[in-house]
Amino acid sequence: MSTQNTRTQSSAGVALWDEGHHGHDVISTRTFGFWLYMLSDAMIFATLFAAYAVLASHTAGGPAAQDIVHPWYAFGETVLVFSSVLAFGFSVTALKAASRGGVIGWMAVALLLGAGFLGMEIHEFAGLAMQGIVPARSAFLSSYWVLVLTHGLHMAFGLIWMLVMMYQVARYGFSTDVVARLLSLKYFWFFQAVMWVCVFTVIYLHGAI
Amino acid sequence: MLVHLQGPWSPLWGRLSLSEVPYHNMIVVGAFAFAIVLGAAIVGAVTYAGKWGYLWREWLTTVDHKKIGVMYILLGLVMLFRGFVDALMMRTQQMMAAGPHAAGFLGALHGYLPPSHFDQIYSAHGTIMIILAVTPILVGLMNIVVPLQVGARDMAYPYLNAVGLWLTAMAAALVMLSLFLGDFSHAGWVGLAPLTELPYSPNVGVDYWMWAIQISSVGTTLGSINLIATIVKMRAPGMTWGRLPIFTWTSLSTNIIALSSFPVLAVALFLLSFDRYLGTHFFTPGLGGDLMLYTNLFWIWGHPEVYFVVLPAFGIISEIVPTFSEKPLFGYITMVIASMAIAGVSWSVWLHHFFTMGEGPAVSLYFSVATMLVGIPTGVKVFNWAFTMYRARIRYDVPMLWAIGALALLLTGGLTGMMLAIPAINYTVHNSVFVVAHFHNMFLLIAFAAMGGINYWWPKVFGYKLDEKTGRLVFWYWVAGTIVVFVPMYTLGFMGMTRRLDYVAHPSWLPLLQLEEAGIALYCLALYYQLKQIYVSIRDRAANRVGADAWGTSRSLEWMTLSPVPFYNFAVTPVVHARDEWAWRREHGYTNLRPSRYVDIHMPRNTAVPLVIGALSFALGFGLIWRIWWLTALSLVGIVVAMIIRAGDTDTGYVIAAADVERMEKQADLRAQTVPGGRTGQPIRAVP
Amino acid sequence: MSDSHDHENPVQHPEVQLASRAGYVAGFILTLGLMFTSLELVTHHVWAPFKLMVATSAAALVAVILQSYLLFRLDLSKAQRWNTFALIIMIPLFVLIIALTWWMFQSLGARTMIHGMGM
Ligand code: HEM
Ligand SMILES: [Cu+2]
Repeated sequence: MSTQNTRTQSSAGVALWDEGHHGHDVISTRTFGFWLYMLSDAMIFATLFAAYAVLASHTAGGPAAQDIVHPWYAFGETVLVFSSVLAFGFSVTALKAASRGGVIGWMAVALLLGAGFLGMEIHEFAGLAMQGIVPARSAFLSSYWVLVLTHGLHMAFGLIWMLVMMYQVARYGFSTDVVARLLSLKYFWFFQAVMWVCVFTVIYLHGAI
Repeated sequence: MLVHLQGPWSPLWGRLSLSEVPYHNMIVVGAFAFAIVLGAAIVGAVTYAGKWGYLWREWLTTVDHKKIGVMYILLGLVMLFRGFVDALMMRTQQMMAAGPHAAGFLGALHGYLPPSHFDQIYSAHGTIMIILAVTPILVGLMNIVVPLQVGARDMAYPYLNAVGLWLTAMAAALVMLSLFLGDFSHAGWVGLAPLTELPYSPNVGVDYWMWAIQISSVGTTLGSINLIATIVKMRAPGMTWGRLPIFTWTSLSTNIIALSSFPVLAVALFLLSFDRYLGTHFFTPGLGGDLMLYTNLFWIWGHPEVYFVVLPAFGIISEIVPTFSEKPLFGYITMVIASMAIAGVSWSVWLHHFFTMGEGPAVSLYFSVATMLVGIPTGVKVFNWAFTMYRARIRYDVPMLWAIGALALLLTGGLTGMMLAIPAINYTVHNSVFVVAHFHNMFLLIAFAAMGGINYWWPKVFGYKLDEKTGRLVFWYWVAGTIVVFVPMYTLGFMGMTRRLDYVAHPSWLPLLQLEEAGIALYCLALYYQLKQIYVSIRDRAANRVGADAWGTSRSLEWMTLSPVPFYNFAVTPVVHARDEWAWRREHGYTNLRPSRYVDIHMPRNTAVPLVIGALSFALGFGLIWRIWWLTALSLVGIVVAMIIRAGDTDTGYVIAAADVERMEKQADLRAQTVPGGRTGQPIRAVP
Repeated sequence: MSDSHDHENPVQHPEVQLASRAGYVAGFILTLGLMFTSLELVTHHVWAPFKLMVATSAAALVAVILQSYLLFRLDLSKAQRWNTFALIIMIPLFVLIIALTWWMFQSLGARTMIHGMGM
């Protein structure tokens, strides 16, 4: 915004046009848009949870949740997701200190931890598939696979995005565009931890009860 | 993991083969010939005029919100025409196929359309009208008007805006392609599960329907993010929430609906596609699948969607009525609250679309009461419009006619909706043409408002008014058609006629069906006059030029820009002092639109990336529909790469120097001097 | 839009300055602790199933609230106001679609006598 004296005034002294107006705050406009996208993404998860709530008992004589979930294993995944998010947090604090090396380094740690999570998840589902516990077996398994792997897909996407951002930080430094994207990626990555809390509780813990 | 398909498949062509071209169907061949001739004519005309470069620079690669809006509306109108042809075919079939003695033609037992073809037509009709006609027209209007009304240079994300447009256009292209290659879904616009499942719909029809909707709804979701961010973040100094024009308020609430509800549709369709491609059991009848779950998810989106289309219509009416009543809108605050309340309530009523599912009475009660609650905010709106018109000097210009017509439709449509909201009544008329009449009544309200909006803002965008005389004829024929088609349809609903019939068992219903056909003829006349209106208006544009304030009594910020609006909207950002800023300035004599000094303007650069992403999405959809996996993978990778390349582009904007802005404004000013009423336009009505 | 708008250093942007090492560490420890507690409760079958469900759901809820505050730093400050507001509008919708869906389907199988649905 600008001060009164850069504005066109009518004879009565009313400011009619703002010549000093420099538009909007580019970064927060961008991150707000991305935040809105995150909310719509959250609605995708909410819908998947609604479907799971209906189908969880429809096992069609196949394995039920109790038979396939391993809460301790899933807790290992929890540790990986949370610590990846923590590492990403440190990457953002490095951004605050304008340290390129810090941003890239911590992001690399976050990336490795995230890849570790994906590795564990792939291992889990490969094991299920080997035992014939596939989505086509029953409605419960369909929703189990789709819900958990939707989260996994988000994680994978986040990893690719991190790679792109590490390159962009190295190449362009902290330009407006890059900072806006880093902040958006921060939302995205933190959001995966939130969703994992829900997945862990509803699928792995409630499933084991 | 992929399901086992019946029928041939090859790695290179997927399910595609020459036998998928329906050349044995005379109607499709006719449509194809029409499309070819029309396409050739357009291509020929553009080439002849040497306009390809212009088209590319000014339209296909543009990120200007007004041009994108215009393209959205054009797309919507083209699809509206396609949907109308579908309607005409269905009406004609029902009239020809009443009773066992009705003759059959073109391979049909009765009438001229065999059931499989008829079913595809009604499915396409609904899908097209709701998702590819009404939605683009309204999104287009919001695109054009909202940035102007909040005093912004463009949308918050001009590039994303173009992506949304091209996704929607490609979805439309997929639906059109299904006419000539393969078939379209026969399972209704809602996708009746489990009919949409692979064993019952083994062809590509359902896939066309599913992926076209999926692609266009990504576009709509992106658009909603853009509009919300524009309204929240891009307002001019002084444009407080209490001064926001009502159309902008309704755009905000409607896009909150879109942002929250379209993901649900995406999930419903994704789960269906998992069933069809991976053999899961979400909605199948066996192995635990639950077909009502699909219906549930679909309507969680579906009902909010109907409010997504009605709220902008309410917004348009709220702009038109005060302008032609020459008074401020009555009850601004209640209007805002009502808009938000409607959006909120719309989230809690969806079960009224399947009261007959068999849920418990408490559940029915909850949804019934919630549905009726929406009558309160809607009633508030109706009374506000009525009080605005009360004792006003009303001018019956074409936009006002459409607005008043829309009010009448809102009344009947809303009341029949109330009837349907009562479970006891609903059980008897569910899936009858009474429901069809109800929602067409409502959608026509929206179409009326949209027509009003197009007539109202046309001069802002193009600098001249649409022809009045033909405009009135369009309106009156459209009103007549609406009455003659839908009163008999309500009646037939009470008489027990169910919807989606390709054969009508009771010959006694024939007279009413014939009456409906007569109504369709009236619609055809409206269509004729509509084309004529556009033709006449373009031809006589020199005589119909307008100044900034085309109607002389308009009130909001968009009327403070030149007509047609320059690509930078406002030469200098306006400072807002009042609700209805332009009316305020007019009253205080601040009608001079020239600032004391011009400044540099930052503008986003044109880009072809959105078009490329659109084309790749088309390829993606095509690959998925025909199960051509290499094409699917390639276009998916292509989209990601295009996004990454765009992210690496650091040169996305440019600056127009203050001196250039000044020069352009001066020229526009000189042009405007030649218009009667000058820069500010003049009231149509000559008051002594 | 373009870079040309920023007249100051993007790193000074309030949203960047929100980052807090202590907050992230606290978020990490608290949420992981909550999840671990839930895990212990469940694997040792400390209570009856229903009570366990309620307790673990409550723990998840607390964890999500902590994350919103400590990781996303959602509050009513000028920088974060709109994000917070947008989230608050959406939360009822999440609850509505899950709860109402669950409610309407809860007795559907019995009412429509579709016992063969594979339950
Ligand atoms: C705002 C504009 C509205 C639109 C665009 C609209 C649209 C529709 C559509 C598309 C359907 C049926 C779709 C299908 O089955 O294929 C429908 C059905 C229904 N509408 Fe509306 N509607 C609107 C307003 C209302 C209102 C105000 C009410 C009640 C207060 C209402 C109550 C109902 C009910 C109860 C049904 C279900 C009827 C049945 O299938 O048995 N609608 N509406
Ligand atoms: Cu509804």
